[in-house]
Amino acid sequence: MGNGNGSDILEDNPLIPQLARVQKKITESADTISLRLVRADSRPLGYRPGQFNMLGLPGFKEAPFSFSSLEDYTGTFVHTIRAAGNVVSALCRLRQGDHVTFRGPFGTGWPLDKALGRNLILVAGGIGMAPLRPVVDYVRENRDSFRDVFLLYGAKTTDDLLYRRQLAQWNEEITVLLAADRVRGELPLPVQEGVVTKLLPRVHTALSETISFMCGPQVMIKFAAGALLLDGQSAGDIYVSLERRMECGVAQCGHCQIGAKFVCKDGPVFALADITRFQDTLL
Amino acid sequence: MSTSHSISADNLCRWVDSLAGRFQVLGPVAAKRGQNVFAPIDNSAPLALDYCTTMLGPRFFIYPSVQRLCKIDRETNTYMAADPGPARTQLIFAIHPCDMHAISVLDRTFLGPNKDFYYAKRRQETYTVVLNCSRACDQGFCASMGTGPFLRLTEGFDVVMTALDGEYLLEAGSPRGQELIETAPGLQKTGRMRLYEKSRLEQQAAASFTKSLETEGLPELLMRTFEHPVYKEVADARCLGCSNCVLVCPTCFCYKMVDRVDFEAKIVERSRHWDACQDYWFAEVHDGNFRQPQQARLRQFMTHKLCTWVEQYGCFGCIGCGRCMTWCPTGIDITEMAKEIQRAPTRQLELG
Amino acid sequence: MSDGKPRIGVFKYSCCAGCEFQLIFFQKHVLETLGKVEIVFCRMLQSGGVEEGPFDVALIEGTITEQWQIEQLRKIRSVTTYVIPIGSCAVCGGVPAIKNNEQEYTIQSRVYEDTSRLTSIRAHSVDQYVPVDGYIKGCPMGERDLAEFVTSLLLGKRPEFIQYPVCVECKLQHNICVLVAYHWPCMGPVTNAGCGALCPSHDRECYGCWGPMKNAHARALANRFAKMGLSEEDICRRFTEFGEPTVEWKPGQVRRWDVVQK
Repeated sequence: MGNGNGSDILEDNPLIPQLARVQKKITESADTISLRLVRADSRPLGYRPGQFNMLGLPGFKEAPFSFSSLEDYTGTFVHTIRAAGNVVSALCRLRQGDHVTFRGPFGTGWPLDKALGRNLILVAGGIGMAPLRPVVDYVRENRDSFRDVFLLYGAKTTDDLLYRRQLAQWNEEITVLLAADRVRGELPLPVQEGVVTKLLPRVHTALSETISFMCGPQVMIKFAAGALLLDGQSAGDIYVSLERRMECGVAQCGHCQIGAKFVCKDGPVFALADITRFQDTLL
Repeated sequence: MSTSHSISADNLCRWVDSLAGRFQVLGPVAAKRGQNVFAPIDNSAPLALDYCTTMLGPRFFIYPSVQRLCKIDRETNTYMAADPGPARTQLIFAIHPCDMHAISVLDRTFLGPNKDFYYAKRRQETYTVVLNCSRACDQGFCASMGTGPFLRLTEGFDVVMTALDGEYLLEAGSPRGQELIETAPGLQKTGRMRLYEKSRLEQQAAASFTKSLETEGLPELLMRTFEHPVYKEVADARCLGCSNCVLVCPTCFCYKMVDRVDFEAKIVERSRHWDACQDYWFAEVHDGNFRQPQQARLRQFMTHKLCTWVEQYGCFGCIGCGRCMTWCPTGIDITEMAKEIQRAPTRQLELG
Repeated sequence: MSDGKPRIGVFKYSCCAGCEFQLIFFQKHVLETLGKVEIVFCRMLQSGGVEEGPFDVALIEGTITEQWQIEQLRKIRSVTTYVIPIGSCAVCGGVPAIKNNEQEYTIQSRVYEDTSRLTSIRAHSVDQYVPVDGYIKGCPMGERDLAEFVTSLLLGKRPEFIQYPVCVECKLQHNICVLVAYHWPCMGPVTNAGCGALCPSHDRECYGCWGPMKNAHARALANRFAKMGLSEEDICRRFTEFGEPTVEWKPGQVRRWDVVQK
């Protein structure tokens, strides 16, 4: 953007947002939507799975959102958003053709290279599926590079499971296991009643040859990571995507610090081994 | 460092007078009831060169407490720049070494891999003239932190001055500082003797400190003792959660974004304000608060300054100025807390 | 918000009406803005009006000190989307709640010869009786929070009111701390900001007129006041002048302590 008065401070300034247009709005569940955004100048962002954008609307401030699509170098990107909080609710009210601002991509993303040639367990809870969807897409595009791949995905009810139309399709290439606290309605795949950690016994693979990625509510991360550690997986092989109140995205505002780590710069994806030595990591 | 010069006190005043024509000079002046503050001056008359310390370090000339980032027109989605930097090139005069070190610590945040445009512009347009301390201040422990009483930096500043027997020794820290010195009236080249006297004075000054902190092994110790009861004891008994400590700290960099909308809901002004990790809402997210109890916030302050900062930036976040304890309404002293942890690292919380 | 202009009702209970006046005064600055809302009921602004609602926003001013006020408040709540107490009286009891320091009858008989027709009850804030959706603090309510409220109404967002202590604003203004430097009994560390640190900026200590900040550690400040030599009565007065009934400031009302911790 920066077409105001051409001041040098606006060019390439990470604190100055850029403009994107809502190309498509997809309703995922009762309170969740996906926005397919296209950059005003259509230049690709060059983002990686697990990185995030600061999406915002002037006057509403900004909030961090992980990419829920794989970079296709057309300048488009998708964010899945659940209505909660000020800016998020406003984003959910947007319609096709409306404009949003974004800054990014920020962060490091999922360490996919570490998973190459190994087994991969993805654990997602609720909206935590959004940052893992590009991982699923990447795995499906490069299926031969990975060994056994599991997606363990839980939500409050069956209706709250996101990307419902794609789950069966994913199941053709990777093992998709679903759980919901309350099962109702029909899905092409079976849904187990209960929390997502109950799916772990159904994962039969050598944990020493496995990388785990997880994203979801704090309590889910605690229990799922705990269960995997008990089963013998090393804390260096468990990666979690953490939540903080990022405001700047460039390791300046200090809000997202966990010990010596900045979630916006060093994360939001961390190896469990790197963060458990600090305090105030999880709620 | 290039050759040093000395200048008489009178000529120093004349030098400041001449600098005031070229720069917006900011220096320590006397405020009400025996306090000192950094303020703009037009000539050398109001300068209080024997000042001990100020409540706020001069960081706010480079990193303002409220800084406009941009203005946004909601209808046309166009952006206008805000805060174009200082109107005139600034010159901060008589910064104490601890505060100069603090600015160099801030540089690591704002001029690191993610360069901050606003900070960089102000930093570039600010000359820094340091005045070495010849005596210790009550609450300072800069000698322990390696940031005083004399400047230890070799770059990142322009001029360093040392008061020696009614004269001032001037040494340049940068080419533009050298130019600055050459504009001073009545300069005299100094010999090795003067530098010897300077180092003797430095030793004297360093010996006069009453407060100290043993930093050897401290980051590792603090990393092991997150659960030490001292945090809870101090937080429960005395910590007001008022954020005074972090707002007066010259190395604190945290800020929050603030959007203000005009009454026609058309123009949005985005600014950043200094934020405080002692504030209850600092680590709040939609699902909860990561540092809900005051003890967690107090621990964040102390362990960040003395422990995790080292991992982040390769230096301590504390420069030993003693401001946080001076300006804490209940006198919480992080050196005392650190000493308690060093004294009994494995002490457990007593119940009942 | 329903279609068209947001419907606003302004109600006044036991107070000086300063907040309502502030609203009307504020209108002078931004006539166009208040033109974008419909003031359905506001006694000071216009006669008549629809007292029964419904309202999108009800601004409640004043402390609740009588039974009929509680009943009306509940009715307002049932027909209103957002109930917002304005000003210290409605938010935290304010000045009228000073009377809670003494027995109701003692207070009544000090003012009135004949107390037989008085129906007043202990003074409490609005949120003690009905759930509320936000607070515009201040005495009178602050312009910064009021502006945030009005612009949020226009944008359709939840207002972000100031929740940090006065100390933060005071430091942003570069004021020298009057509590530490001059040993004045400043209430800044436990008081909600929004005033722009008005008193410390004019060489006075904060007297807490905006009421307590959430999570204020009143007892630690009271201890500090005690060490400075303030009498228990003086300390108690500081913590009861505004916000007598609040949980945040109760621990500072030292008269109720058994022992002042040294």
